[in-house]
Amino acid sequence: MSVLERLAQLLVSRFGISADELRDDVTFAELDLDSLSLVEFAMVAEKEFGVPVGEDELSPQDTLAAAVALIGARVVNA
Amino acid sequence: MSNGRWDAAVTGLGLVTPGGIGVPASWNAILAGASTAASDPELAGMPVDFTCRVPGFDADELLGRRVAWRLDRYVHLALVAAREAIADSGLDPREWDGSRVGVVMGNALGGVRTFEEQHCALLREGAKAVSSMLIPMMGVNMVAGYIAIDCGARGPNLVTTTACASGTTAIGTARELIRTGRCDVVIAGGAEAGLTRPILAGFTRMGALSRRIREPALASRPFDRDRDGFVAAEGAGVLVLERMDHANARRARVRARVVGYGASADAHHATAPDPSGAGVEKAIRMALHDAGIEPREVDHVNAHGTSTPLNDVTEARAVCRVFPGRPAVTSIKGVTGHSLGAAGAIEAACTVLSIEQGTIPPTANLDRQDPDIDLDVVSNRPRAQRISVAASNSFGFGGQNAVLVLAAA
Repeated sequence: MSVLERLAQLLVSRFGISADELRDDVTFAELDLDSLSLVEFAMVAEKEFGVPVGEDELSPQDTLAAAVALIGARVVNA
Repeated sequence: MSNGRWDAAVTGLGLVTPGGIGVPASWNAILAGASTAASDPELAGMPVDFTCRVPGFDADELLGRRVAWRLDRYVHLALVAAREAIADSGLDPREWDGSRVGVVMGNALGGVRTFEEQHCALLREGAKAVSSMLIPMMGVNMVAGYIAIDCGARGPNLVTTTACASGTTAIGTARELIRTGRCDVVIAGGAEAGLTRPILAGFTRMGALSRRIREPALASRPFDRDRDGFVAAEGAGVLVLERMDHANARRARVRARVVGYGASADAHHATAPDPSGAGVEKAIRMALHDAGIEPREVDHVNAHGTSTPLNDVTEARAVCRVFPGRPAVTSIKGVTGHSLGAAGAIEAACTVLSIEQGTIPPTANLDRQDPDIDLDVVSNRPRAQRISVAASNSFGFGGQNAVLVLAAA
């Protein structure tokens, strides 16, 4: 499974986002994930991928594609 | 008794109880008079391993996971009840003036389930494993905040916490907001979801819970000679209170009125009621005085009736002294168990239904009434009776007493 697919699955199962909302350019704010929720998201993603995800590395204005890029780069290098 | 424009009309009801989700399911179970207490898998191996839980409550399904994941169960229960109550009132949150809508909710324990889960995460994996949602999920105030967010209520917003009287205190406080003209509408009630192993262990260690582990369905037996403690429960009850002229202007269905509220403290002991019942009596008399009602005008008392040895006899003494005319008394806790901060709100909603339908639900498991309790307790089956005025009692640890007087529309 790709990083995108795994992240999408996480957003659906853990955060109740519907799959059809998950476009590359959708922002976390548009998914109702504010900065507080993103701290939780970073913690869950860190566990899922086994790479560090800092709680200040993602902002509500970031897109799903940006999160995929951030985590993807670390998964490759890990 | 006044019936003016400043009266608090009850125009909506919402219930989530061990009897079921929604007013019809809850009320039918309460009228049926069979206990909902059952062995609780989450408490396996504990000295008291039964509770009254809301059956089949799936927050993801009822609220959507997108909303539910960031809320504690006690807020889940409250939101479902609040949405039902608002829909029942016919008010449309998209159209109301939110600045005139308040929220007052009762709660005793806050998000204890969340706190315990996160404490376990902390012990297991350290501080980095603690959820950023811990504080907003566990706060005892958050239930009122989240109801406001859900429906756009921008008026006064607070949580009252008087232990097992919290829901009653909330409705009494909400009525003040209506009467003083601060709000046109107040979403008022109580919610509790504290059926966790530590909480149940604590109540067990206090000796407050029934120990009837072989017969959970017979454990909650208010006013019965063989009662030995309460059965812990969860739930939520919400009433929409509305200024009478506001309700009339939109031709709302007024289901009943909240006409009096009294509150007192025993100033006696942390957990035991003052055996004289003086504090309880004072709260009842204060509520009657507030309503401008004579004791003989009260047809029905929805009792606190927890099924603990001390509460029921103390409450009975006070009720006897205030009401020599022997109004019909019931305790729904035989069916629902005791949902602490939600109980008073659930019982106020049931009192509204009793007034509206002329039906008093029976007290479950009342096989042999305690000879020291000289009350006319409704048992076995519902009693059909016209009710003009009823009182609803709630008493909390800390000696905190709260009483509502409700009247027919």
